[in-house]
Amino acid sequence: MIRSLLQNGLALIVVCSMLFAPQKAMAADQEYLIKAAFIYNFVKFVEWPDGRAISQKSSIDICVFGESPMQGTSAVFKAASTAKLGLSLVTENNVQNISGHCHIVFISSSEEGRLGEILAALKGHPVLTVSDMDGFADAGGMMGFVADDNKIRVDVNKKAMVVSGLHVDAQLLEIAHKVIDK
Amino acid sequence: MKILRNTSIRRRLTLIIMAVSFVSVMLTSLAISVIGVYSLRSDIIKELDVSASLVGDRNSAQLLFDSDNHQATNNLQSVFSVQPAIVQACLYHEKGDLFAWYAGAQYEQSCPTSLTQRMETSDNRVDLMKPVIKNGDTIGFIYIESTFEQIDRYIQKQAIIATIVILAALLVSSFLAVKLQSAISQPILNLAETARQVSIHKDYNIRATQAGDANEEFNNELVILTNSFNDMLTEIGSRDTQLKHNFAELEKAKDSAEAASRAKSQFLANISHELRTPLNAIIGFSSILMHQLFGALGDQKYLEYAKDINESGAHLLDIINDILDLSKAEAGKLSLNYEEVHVGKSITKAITILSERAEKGNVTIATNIPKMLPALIADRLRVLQILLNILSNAVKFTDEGGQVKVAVSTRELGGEISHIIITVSDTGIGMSPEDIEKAFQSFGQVDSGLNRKYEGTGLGLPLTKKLMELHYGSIEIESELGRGSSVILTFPAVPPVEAGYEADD
Repeated sequence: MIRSLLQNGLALIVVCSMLFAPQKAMAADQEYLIKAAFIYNFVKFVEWPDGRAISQKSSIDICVFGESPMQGTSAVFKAASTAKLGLSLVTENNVQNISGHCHIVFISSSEEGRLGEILAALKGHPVLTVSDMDGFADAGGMMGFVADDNKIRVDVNKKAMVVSGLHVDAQLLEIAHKVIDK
Repeated sequence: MKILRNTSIRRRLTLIIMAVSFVSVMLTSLAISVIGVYSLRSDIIKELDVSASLVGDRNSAQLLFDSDNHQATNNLQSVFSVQPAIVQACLYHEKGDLFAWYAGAQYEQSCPTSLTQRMETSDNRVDLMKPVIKNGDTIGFIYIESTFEQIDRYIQKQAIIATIVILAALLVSSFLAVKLQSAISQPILNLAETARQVSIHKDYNIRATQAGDANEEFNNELVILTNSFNDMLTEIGSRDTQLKHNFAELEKAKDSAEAASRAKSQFLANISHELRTPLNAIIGFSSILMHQLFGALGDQKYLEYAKDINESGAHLLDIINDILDLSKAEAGKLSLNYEEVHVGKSITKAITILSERAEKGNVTIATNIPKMLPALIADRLRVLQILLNILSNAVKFTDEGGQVKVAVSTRELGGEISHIIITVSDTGIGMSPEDIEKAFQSFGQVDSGLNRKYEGTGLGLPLTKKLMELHYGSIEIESELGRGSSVILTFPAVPPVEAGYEADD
């Protein structure tokens, strides 16, 4: 029962919001916990190409690039790790290293200025790029968090994913705020 | 079964075949329907389970990422609105709060609050609750409730199909039955018709035709039946012929026997007549000699011989008369001359005739005749003949000093005298039952030895019996050896058929 609760992103939010509440403002915490849950759940709808495919005993590295409150959600992913799936939140500041081990990279808003360089470095590599900076998907990122009527939603750049060899489940596109396909 | 009792074999067979096909098609349809219902039920349950998994999976992104339920609701709507059996479908978040639902047109949403995983069926409903799992994570729950209305529709459809199939089966089976039943009924009908023809025409040469191939001999019971029937007819026919033949033979034998009997009677009548003529001469001339009408005979011996000749001649005449009467009676040529007969007078006359012989044997004859006795309607001469026969026998077989009694009595019926009974009893040697039987046979004198003591023709009793029968009367003898005999003559006062007054020839 406990495990099944932990396995669920939304349940994690509840757990983690308690852990991080004293350090940050409640709203900001809440927002990042939801985003962490989203990232965790993206794994269910994205397929990595052979060689990086997520399977039995896979260890998934979720990297954080740049300064981000997302780093505080590390425990979320650790807790969600299962016997099947090892999740770890890794801080990565070297663009060149990202493609080596990261399945997912969260690019912090602080790195908005280097975005072109980062995306260029990751081009052709099967790394799911996620960010909450404005116009991330339009700029060539794959999953961009957007605020819509006080709710967190996602813009999906399908083309960027296809080019990188990632396959996205049509269901994810259904719930997307915007799908960029060219 | 009552319907079958009075119908022809054709109809019976046809009805039986049709009934059997009806029942089998009915049972088959029923079995198919029952199996269909059960497999449909389990299919529905399986489909519902698959459907729940698919719909859950289909809405996993919505469950995980959507803050509103528009899309999920639309998804549910699009999936279930085309399934009229679905009562409702409910989608829950992992924590148990209702996220989206669908309710069938005529149902109200009533999603359960308990998320226990289950699959429950009742007679007309099935509902199941199961988790929505994505990549091993339970991300929500889905609940679907459905009716089994497909089963109702299936049963209706099945009933229509079954009706059509049964009607078709009846049609085909009636057609086949009419065609096929003749294989059984035809030989039986042939037999029945042949039997009818035989009994109408009494012709045992008619044969039942063998239906089908004659080479099939002994292959089936109907062939055997027909063959046996024909054999039986042959047998009856030959017996019938034999019977007719035998009957003709018997008829011929009977005719020749009757002809022989007639010839015998005729011969006897003729010969008696021929014998009487010379006897009359013997008796007449010996009587003249005996009475020495033409002068005394020289020697006493001649007188004795003349007497012997006369007596022997008279005796021979008696014998011939008896033979003549008996043969006439046997040939049915003896007719009676009915008149009023006074029994007392007849008895007295008979006693008078026999008195000389009785005196000679020292036998007394006593009578007991009632004064008031009605006249007997009978042939006077024959009655006298009967009395003489019986009385002379009684005198003859009674030892010296014995007594013969003649008694007359009557029997009444309804206040009128119906019978006159004459009983002649003696104190003679008597007879055994076998002797009595023998005595009534012609020439059946009891003592048939050569040196018999009692002379007589042996025709007396048989002739008496015949004469009594002609009078519609009867004769009985009651006797015991050594203790005398009683002869009981019973005459009807008036014979049932008065033969009129025909002349006796």
